[in-house]
Amino acid sequence: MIRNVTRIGLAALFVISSGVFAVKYLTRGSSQPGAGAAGVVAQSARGHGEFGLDYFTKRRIGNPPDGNPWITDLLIADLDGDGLKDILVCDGRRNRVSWIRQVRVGEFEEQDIGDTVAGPAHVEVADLNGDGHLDVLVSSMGVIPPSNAKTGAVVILVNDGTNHFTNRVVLDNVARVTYVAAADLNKDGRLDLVVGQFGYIEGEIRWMENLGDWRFKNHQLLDLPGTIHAPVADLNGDGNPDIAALVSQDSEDVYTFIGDGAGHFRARVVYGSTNKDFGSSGLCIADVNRDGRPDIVYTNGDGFDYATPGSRPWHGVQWLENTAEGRFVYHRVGDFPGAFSPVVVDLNGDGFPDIVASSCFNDWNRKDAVSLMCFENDGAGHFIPHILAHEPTHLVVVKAADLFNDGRIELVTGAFMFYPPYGGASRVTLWQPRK
Amino acid sequence: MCYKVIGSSPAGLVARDHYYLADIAQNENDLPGAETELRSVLITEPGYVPARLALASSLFKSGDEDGAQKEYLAVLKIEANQPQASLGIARIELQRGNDDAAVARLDELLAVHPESTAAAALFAQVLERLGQKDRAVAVAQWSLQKPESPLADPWMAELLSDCYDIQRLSITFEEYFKTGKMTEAVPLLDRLSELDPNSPITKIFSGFSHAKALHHITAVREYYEALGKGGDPEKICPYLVQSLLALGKISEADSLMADYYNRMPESIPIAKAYSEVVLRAGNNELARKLLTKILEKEPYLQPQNMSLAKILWDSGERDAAAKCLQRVAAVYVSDVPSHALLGEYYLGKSNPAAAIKFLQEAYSHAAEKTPAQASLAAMLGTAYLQIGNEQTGRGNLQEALKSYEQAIRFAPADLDGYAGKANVCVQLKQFRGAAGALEKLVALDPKNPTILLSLGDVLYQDGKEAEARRRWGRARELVAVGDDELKAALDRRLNGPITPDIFQ
Repeated sequence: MIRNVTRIGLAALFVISSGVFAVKYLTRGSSQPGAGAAGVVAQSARGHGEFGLDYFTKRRIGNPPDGNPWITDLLIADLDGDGLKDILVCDGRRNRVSWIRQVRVGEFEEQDIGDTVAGPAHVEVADLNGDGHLDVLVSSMGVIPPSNAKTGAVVILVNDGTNHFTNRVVLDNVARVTYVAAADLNKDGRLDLVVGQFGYIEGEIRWMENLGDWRFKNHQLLDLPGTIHAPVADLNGDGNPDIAALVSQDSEDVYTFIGDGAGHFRARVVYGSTNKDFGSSGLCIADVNRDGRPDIVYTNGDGFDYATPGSRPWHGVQWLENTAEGRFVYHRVGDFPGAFSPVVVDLNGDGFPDIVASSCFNDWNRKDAVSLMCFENDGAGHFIPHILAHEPTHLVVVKAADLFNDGRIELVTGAFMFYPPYGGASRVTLWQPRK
Repeated sequence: MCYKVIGSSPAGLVARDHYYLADIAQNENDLPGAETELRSVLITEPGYVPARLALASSLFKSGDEDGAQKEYLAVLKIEANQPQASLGIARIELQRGNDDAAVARLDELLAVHPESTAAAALFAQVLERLGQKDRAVAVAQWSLQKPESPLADPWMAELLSDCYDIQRLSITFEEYFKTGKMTEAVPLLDRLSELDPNSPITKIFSGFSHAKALHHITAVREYYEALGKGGDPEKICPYLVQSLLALGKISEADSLMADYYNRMPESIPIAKAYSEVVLRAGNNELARKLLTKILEKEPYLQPQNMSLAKILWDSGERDAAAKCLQRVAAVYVSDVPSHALLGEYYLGKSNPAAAIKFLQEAYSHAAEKTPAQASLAAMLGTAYLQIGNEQTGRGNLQEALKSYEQAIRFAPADLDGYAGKANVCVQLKQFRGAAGALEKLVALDPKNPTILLSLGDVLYQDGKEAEARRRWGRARELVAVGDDELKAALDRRLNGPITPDIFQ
């Protein structure tokens, strides 16, 4: 079916007129914890528990919710370099980025960092100025409801090494920014930026060449709106960084931008859904089949673009197998209503990367609606679905890491409670394996 | 399953069956399956454009650019300038880095199909990237018009007439609704009601349709029914309120929203709708409370910030109003009212530098030659004048001169800018510049003898004695009876020896 580039859901009419928040136009966090550019999946040294509702115990971490939380993204990283992994939080309701710091093993305290950031949508860390301290890269949508106004920005919360962060805007007055990540794209020794701008009718993907001293030169990669994620990895094994991008809105396409190591990229659609209501929602890169080539995993479960927010039968998780020929072959992992935030992680320590995803847009009126799911990889190309949780609901983001350095993988989820029923409000939840 | 049975019968599957099977495959993300079915369609119906476009799209999304291009070109042979095919090829050309070909194609497409908002949106982005900013802005505006109609697809339309799939019907209704094709949309709505009589969705859709046609009485009835059927008040109330307000039923809207607000005090959509009603009712006290609460949770909402700013501004609480305005200005760079009011606020605070920052922004985004732009220009003139005066007082004469020139640029009919410039020029011994400014002053106020005296003075110091004497003479004619001091000054110039101290 042919798409209309300017198509917006009728639900978006609600948004335009009433300012109701549209998750369709949010970014959803899905950068791959434990998976670097080479796509190595985090592995659990032990575990082997049976997946199910009692696989994890859960507890709230960070500040309690004030009203219905709007967490838009999370990132697990050791921000202060104390050997304990912390959690960075994009709080769309408060227009703040906060740091849930692991002060002692298993003990967390939350504090805001930097100044306000309008519509924070995605967070990454990188030592952008090479001073030895991790800076925080924030995608700022400016205004979260759909808008063609140039309200987007890339804000760096510059770390002075004393847990003090200062906002520095390196890009502003552009279409709403939903993704930013750092990588040395032209191999000049400086970290450049990949920027995805969801925009609305107008949006784009660009990379910003780091010229040093906080100066950047823009290079446009794609003229289309709707970018959700655009992580960097060497997709074709030539030693140069490439980019994979999930572009929704009009397209519902997955693009690759193959780099030559000198800052030149060749764009190509490697897979796209012809279902215009597919609801692309998140993408990550990881070597799913352990063949040494990074594959692409992505979810479709954005349910805001419908007259009533919620799930659709085609929502789920898929992976694009990176073949030796540089082509990507589509494989459905499984159905999952409202699926968001794919994470590839060997959750049970069997050596095969599993796929975890959360759900933001399920039918929360039903008690059996699933909010957290694991697709267990049997190592033979099959994924066995396991329900991990029915609540908290409205989970827009899940991240995974060995938070306590004990060889076990924990999950952290964030809730974006946009549409009723809200149930028990959850903001940031830590999920620890029982065994 | 049914198709498999039919396919195994002697008659087999016809082209339409393959088309519907392709649609099923596409919805299941089975692009190879869809391609197979679509190719089967095209064997017997090679001219059915929707099928060929669907095949091109499937190929493109499978990473087969060449295959997609071949199919798009085949469509263009059937129907020259077919918009989806042209757009598809343009995307492929862009992907290949062939900007020139894509620009030419999009240009031609929009010339033939000006309704193609999709092409306009893409074209605007390409033009912006290529540095053609002005044209990019114009084409971007073009792209914001009503979306083009969906592709005519008689086979799918026929299927829909006997369709039991509520989702598909809803989506198709949505497309017709957005493109204003209400004749096609309404029967789908009827069918949706028939299939799912207890669903609030059809009532909401129906409410939208009637409100769009300005049939607000019916729209209100439909919205109430949607609420009665369990529809989400957060979604419905904002629209119900709009229709009630359009009908002038303010008290009904007020009591409705008061009730929902009591039930859902934490709901932002409900609070927003309620605040609209109380603003219309003139209840500023309650509006202020609601808007403050909304903005505590969602601080960057433009209408709510502006409404609260107005209330605060009118009540003299300009510092508080400025905070609302600053939030708007921070994220809506092109919002003229917030920037203009902030400019006025800082002018009132005798902070012309801060005022200029906001006023310049507002001025650059205000519509040309409108009263709003004229008013902004006047404020900019005042701000630059204030800076000029400040700099003059500090002895920063070059900076002062620049500011006075800006003041003159924005307020060319204001005497003070010229006077300031003339004064600074004299101090800088730039008599020609001073004479130019004073000439303008004379033009604006030709019967002012003091200005003529000053003009004569600077002309004299610029070595133009004859001209100077002419101006002094004219000034002497204009001196008012009783202004002996001015009269004496002019007489001294006209009759006595001219010494440097005379100009001190």
